[in-house]
Amino acid sequence: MKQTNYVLLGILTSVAMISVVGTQNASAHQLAVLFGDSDTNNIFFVLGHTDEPAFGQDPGKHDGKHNLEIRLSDDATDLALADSTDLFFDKYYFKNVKKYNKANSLDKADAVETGINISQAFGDPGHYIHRQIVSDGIYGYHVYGEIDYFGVGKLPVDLTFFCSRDGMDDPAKFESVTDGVTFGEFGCPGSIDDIKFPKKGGHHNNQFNKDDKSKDD
Amino acid sequence: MTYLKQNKIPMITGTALLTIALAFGGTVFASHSFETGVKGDSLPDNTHIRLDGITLAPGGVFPLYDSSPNYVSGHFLLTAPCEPVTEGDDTYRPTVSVIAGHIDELAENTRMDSIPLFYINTVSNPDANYCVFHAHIPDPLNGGAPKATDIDLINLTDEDITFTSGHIVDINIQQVLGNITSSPYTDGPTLNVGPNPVFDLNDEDHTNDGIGHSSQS
Repeated sequence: MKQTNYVLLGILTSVAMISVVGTQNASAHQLAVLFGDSDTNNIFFVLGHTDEPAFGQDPGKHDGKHNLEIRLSDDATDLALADSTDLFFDKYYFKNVKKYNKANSLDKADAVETGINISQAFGDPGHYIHRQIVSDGIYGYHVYGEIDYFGVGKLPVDLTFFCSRDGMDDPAKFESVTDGVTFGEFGCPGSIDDIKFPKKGGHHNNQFNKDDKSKDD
Repeated sequence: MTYLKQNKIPMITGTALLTIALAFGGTVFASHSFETGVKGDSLPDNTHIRLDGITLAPGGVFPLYDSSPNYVSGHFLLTAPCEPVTEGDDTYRPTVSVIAGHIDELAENTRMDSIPLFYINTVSNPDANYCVFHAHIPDPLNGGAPKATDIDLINLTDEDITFTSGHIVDINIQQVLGNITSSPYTDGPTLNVGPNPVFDLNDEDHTNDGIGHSSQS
């Protein structure tokens, strides 16, 4: 079933998707086109955290619940690829950019969890969810297994994506994709205090109150 | 009734009509593993069109549905005059052709393909010139345009096609799959039109079962 022009179509689709996603949210998801084989066409793969931008858990302020989500679809038609049961991933965590930059292998990660089976969300074909509570830091995911292609074939998947944050020397140094191309990025969980307003000990420069008071007088 | 091997005038006429419509811009015609239906408790959009009393002249086009700017997926039902796919065949095809894809105001963004049909022998009566066909739009496994906004009937034969009582089209749209802005067709106009490929799951010939289908729906 593999057709050469599907490769080009996939790339074009991906570029188009990036432009769309990029205009919607700076902290979007990371994308890949996985090249089909004799039994499947190209598959569109999307990975990121739910409810982006993500923030780490901070008791009393933010629950840190940003699930890992993967969306799978047929690249040419956008039809959802449902009911893949043989999808697994490993996840890696670095506490901060400094530790990430210093690491030369995934063995240096501050936390590692392997062999997790990710399953489809109930009632949402093609949407795969792993529930988790995240911390402020750098997350990476190695996804592997097989994607079921409409019951007529299974396409192996083997890719590693890492989130991106300012200061990372090379956000892609641990990334890879087998038989595919990848585009875009997803943001790392930050500190919920970054969006606090007014910040503790900070000042706001809005003169409205003062001016308004004078008007009232 | 024969297709255009002997006489290409109707096809040329049909193509010309489509091209003229595009040139003037304002006229826009108007167990299946990849069918996931509607999400949640949403209602699908259903369009039922009676064809009785309509005669399509050679080259004539009858627009059925136009969801522009959104690409859509759904189920298509046609009851129509029919003839054996080959002499003596127990699988029938409609004498009218069904095409789907996108007709854009810009010809270069246009693509229309004949769609794969499934002959439903259990509710057909070829002796009465009444045959039932299903299609899945889009069909990622058996061909046709991968993205569709428009569905039309077209007479590619060299004779009039007259529809009588009981001949109908029913289109059930279940999902939106992107839009023409984020994923346009390019390098058009592309017209892959001709007699529809017809599959039959219920005859002795299993070479015409198509891919990914194990039962009728």
